[in-house]
Amino acid sequence: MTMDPSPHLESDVLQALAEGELSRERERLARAHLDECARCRSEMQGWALLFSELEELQDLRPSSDFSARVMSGVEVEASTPARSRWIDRLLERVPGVRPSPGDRHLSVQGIQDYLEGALDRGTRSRVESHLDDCLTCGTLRMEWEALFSELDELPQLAPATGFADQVMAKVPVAAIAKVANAPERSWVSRATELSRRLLPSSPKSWAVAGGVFMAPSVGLIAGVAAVVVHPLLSLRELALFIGWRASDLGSLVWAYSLDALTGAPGVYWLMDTLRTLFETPGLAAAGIMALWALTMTSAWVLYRYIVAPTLSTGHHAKLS
Amino acid sequence: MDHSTLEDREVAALACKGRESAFRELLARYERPVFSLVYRMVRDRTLAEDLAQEAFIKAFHALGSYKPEYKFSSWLFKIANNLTIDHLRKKKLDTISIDGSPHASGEEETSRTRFILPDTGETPDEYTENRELGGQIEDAIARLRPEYRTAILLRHVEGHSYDEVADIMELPLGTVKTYIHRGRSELKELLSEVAA
Repeated sequence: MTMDPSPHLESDVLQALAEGELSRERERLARAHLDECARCRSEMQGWALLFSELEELQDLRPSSDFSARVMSGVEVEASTPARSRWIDRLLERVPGVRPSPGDRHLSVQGIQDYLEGALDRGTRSRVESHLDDCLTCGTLRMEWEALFSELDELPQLAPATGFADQVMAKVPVAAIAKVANAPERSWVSRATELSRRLLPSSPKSWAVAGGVFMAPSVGLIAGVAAVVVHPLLSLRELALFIGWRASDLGSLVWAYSLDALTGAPGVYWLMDTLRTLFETPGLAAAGIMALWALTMTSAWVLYRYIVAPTLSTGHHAKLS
Repeated sequence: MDHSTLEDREVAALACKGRESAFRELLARYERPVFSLVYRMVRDRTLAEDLAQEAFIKAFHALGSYKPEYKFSSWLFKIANNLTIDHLRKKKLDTISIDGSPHASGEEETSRTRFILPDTGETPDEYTENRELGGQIEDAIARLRPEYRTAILLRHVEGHSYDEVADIMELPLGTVKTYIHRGRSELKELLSEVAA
């Protein structure tokens, strides 16, 4: 909202002035400008007139029976066809036949529900009363009754002779009975079947599953390889290091387990044996070799069933 | 053995035990109703017999999974209706548009969801006569969209309750009521057009 640098007041300033939203100082300045500027004064008069007219607009109200129409589930005049409204206007001129004031016609759905007996007793009674008095709805009811009657009288159609024999020729009665009467299976057999379903069903899916499970060992072997290739580290030293770590781990397990197993016969002998094994460099080396073999196997399986088939598919596609 | 006095579920139980006569009893009870529904849906006798046959074979193979607390006729009609609807959907490429979805909220959606009637290149009269389904009411039913047609036929020709129709069509009860009301209104309109 600015009054400067334009020589005239902007429309938003004039609107704010008309609504009394300007600060006292800005209003004083604006009014001072209006006293001197005929153009702004004229525009201001236009805004003032518009505001006045807007304030004088009256509230619009729905018709008096609007609420009743909204609240009525069955009686909706709007659903009456134009022809019926025309009939109504005609009937209004006939004494004794005109529907009573305030009466509305039954909806299409209401008539259908009535004919199907889907209305509760109270609604049904009101509908019947209306139907007795209202010629329009009475006529509609007859039309609907005729349609219901036609639909209900539609015949069932028969297939060609021999249909049952044709079906029975394709129904293995004994096999169906065998399946239907198969004994309830135990939870063991269900669990077995479930596990069988969960297991990979093809060489490729086995390869994928194997690859997923072997992936950690691939990472591990890569880490080991990164360490081994270091010029200051030999494989033997690494094996010794792992052996020491394993020995430390063994000692730790030993310490924790000792309290729990105190007094158990043969425990000391077992722990001594395990410690000896962990401290043996050859055992650590054998472990690494096994890990390596496992990873190589998984790498080969991944290549054989995932990478290689993709390449060969592309090759065949080119050939074709 | 005479199974005519037994209830459907008892006959189905006997069929499960391998009694061929029980299978035949179920066929005798439902071959006409099932065929009628399918025939009025696809309006081709040969095709209707194939579909009805497929429905029975499928139902009989699945008898072991049929639960006696469920109404047998509803279970059987559900299988037949699903097969028929699947067939109509597969055939929808060879179709012409007539109308839009009853739930369409705008012109665009109405246009997108136009109902489809098989385009056989016949006039409506030829279509009706050639398919042995004569009469104005049959012709009007043929012009309804499939979901309205199924609901109307199950309700009026087969005499199922609204709940059963909802169960067979696997639709909410309110939707089925709407389908039947609108279907009948369309029928009334179509018939009055013919009369005029």
